[in-house]
Order: sequence, then C-alpha cells, then structure tokens
Amino acid sequence: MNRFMTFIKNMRQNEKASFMGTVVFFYLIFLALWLYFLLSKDSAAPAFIYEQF
Amino acid sequence: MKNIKAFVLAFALFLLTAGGIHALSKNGLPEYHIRYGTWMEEAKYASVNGLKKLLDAGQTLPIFGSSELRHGQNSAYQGNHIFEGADMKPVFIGQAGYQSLTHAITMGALGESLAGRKAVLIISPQWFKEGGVKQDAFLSAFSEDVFIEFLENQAISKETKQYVVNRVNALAAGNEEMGVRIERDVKWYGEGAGNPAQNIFAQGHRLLIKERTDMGLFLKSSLCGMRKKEKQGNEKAIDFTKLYQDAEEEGVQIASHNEYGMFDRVYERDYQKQIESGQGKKPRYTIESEEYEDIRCFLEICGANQVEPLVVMLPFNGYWYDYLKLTEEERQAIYDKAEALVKEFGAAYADLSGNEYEPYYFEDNSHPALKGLVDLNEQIYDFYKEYETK
Repeated sequence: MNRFMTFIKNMRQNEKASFMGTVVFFYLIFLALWLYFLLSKDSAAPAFIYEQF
Repeated sequence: MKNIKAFVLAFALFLLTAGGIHALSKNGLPEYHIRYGTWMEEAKYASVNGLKKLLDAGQTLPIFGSSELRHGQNSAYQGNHIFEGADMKPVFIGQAGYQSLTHAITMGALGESLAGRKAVLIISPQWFKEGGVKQDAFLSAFSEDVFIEFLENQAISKETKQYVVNRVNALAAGNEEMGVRIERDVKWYGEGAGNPAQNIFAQGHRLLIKERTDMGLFLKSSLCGMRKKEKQGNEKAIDFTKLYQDAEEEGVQIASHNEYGMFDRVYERDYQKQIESGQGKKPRYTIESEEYEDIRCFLEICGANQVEPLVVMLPFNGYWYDYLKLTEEERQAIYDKAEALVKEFGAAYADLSGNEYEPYYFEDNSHPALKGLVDLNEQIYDFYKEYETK
C-alpha cells in the first residue's frame, strides 16, 4: 500500500506522468461509456426472469 | 488548460479505438461453426446482419424455439452434438421466453435471405396461455434492429404487419420508453412511411441501431470465443437407432426412480417436496390463447417469403400434467387446434404429442431430454433431408 501511495505521489509531482494519467483516466471513461452503450440490452424492458412452467 | 488538452487527446484516442473496432467488426461477424450456430445468446438473435451471415453458410437450417434448445446441450442428444460434423448445420434462434410472435418478427426480418429454403418452429404446449407470450418475456427478447428490418420487408402484407404492430403495442403498454421506440419505428419504417432514405433522422437512427447490434455481437462473440474458426467435416452419418439405444440405457440409470418421467436428480431437487405436500395448481393453458394467432402470423410470413416451415409440437409431460389435473382431453384440444392451424397452411407438422408417457423422454415437467431430444432432432433431420432431395 505504501509503495502504491509513493508511486501516486511521484506521479503527481511529475508533470508528464500526471498529464498521461489524466489522459488515461478520460480514455477509460469514454471506453466504459461506449462499451455500456454497445453491450447493454437492446430493449428498455426489464430482464426476463425465466421461471419453470 | 492541461485538463482540456488531456480530454481532447483521450477523446481522439477513443475515436481511434472505436473506429478500429468498427472496421474490424464490419467484416468480423462470426462465421458458421456448430458451437456458434447453437450458441444461446441474445446478441446473436438481435443482429440481422449476424443472423444473415450465419445462415449464408451452406447446409444451414434455422430452428426457432425456446428453452428446449438449451436443455441437454451438455448431453449427446441435443442438436449441438448430434449434428457436429454432419451434413446439416442447425442455427438455433430463441431461448427461454421466445415464442411465435418474436419468431414471426425475426422470420420477417430475415425475409428474402430465406426465400426458397426451409425453417423449423418448435412449439411448446406451455406457450398456450390465455394472452400468449408474457409481456416481460416478449419485451426482453425485442430487438429494434430485427423489428425495423421486419417493417421494411415489402413481401409481407399490410394486414400481417398491422397485426404484429398491434400485438407489439399491446405488449409494450405500460412501458413508456418501448412505446415511444415502437411508435417511432412504425412511423419511420412502417407502411406509408415513405422512403426512409429520404429521412435523415431515420437513416441516422438505423445506422446507430445497426452499429450497436453488430458491434455488440462482435464483442460478445469475441469474448465468448465464438469467432475462432473451427474445422468441421460434413460427412458424419447420424445413427439415430444407436442414439435411441444410448438414450434408453442412460435413462435407466438417471431417470427410472420417480413416477413422473423426469431425471431423478431434477425430481428430487425441484418436484418431490411439491408433490409430497400436494402443492401445485392447474395451469391455465387454453385453446383461446392468443398464441394461435401468433403462430398463424408466423406461417403467413413464411408463406409471403417463400419459406417452407416444419412445425414441431412438443408433448406435455403426461404424468406431471395429470398431477396438476390438466386433463388428457384439455391437452389434446390444445394439440388439435395447433395441428389444424398448421394444416390450414399446408405446412409440415411433426406431432410429438403422442409421447406424453414415453419413458426417458423428459428432463423435467416439460423439456425433452434423452429419447425426447433424439426424436426431436430426427424429425428435424428428416425434414432437412427431404429438402435436399427435392
């Protein structure tokens, strides 16, 4: 945990790394939204819960 | 300022990624292999391009059904195993909750690509509830891509389209978002909508829906390993007599210690307590079910698109429905009405209803297993071979 915190701290202090971190952050958000749009069901209906006859 | 730069750069990278995947998926929808053909996945049924590509492979036969397509896939008696390497390639369309109306719309969407070919519709007698398909089941299976293609099929009569639109509207009642979508689709792509190509919104919407369904299929099939090309022969002879023997032998081992014709473990897990405590009420299956009109609609669409259908009627598990006091006469009336309807269209009909008490025929109270699956697949294969020799 300590190592991770040190890594984050170092990254924040490094201008280039901080910039790249922000880019990756936004990129992942776009990607997640896009994947959600593509993979969510093509229906506004609630999921059908199958029950035995 | 730095954050804005990062935002723009991230967006550009994202556009590159999305564009790259789009280009890949454009020609990357999976090709036929038995595992993909019999894959039970909504993304497969929702994409018209995906289904057309699947059915374009030679020797394919679309098989429309519901949960019985999934049951038994781990056994040697379901189509995914029986037809592996054989000269017929099954394409399963449907899963639990899919009934005639959904299949009619899909048949309409596939339209011309199936002209002059055969298709199979497997009917479960449990579909014949008063109102037919359940609202949540139908809406859950609804694909806008399929619905739009159905609406644009010029071979289907105005009356049949209106019937489907009325049924869809009735089933979507109470779901505001679905209602809006359906109304918009009918307005943009239905009868009297004019040329959708002249409506920029209709065109844009169509592109968006296609992108979503095709990309969804591409991603899901990739994640599930369905895009791997699998070599398969097409020469394997299917020995149904041996399959019946194997099924019977297996049945003795796993389905001979209960009086309800089910697998013993399924009986013990799901039914024994219920039966011992006298629970269970008579189901309301009826010859007044709207399902009959939905089947009529399916058959009309087959006719309009020159598709030759085989309708297979699965049996009730006689022991179980005797217990629930759905009488033999009531069950027979349901079978008879379906048969009369199918005969009215001159379509092929495989009646499995005489197997209600056949040993080793069911997995549970409704789904065929062992000899039931062998029987079902033999009927389908015989129908396919007739087609080949014509």
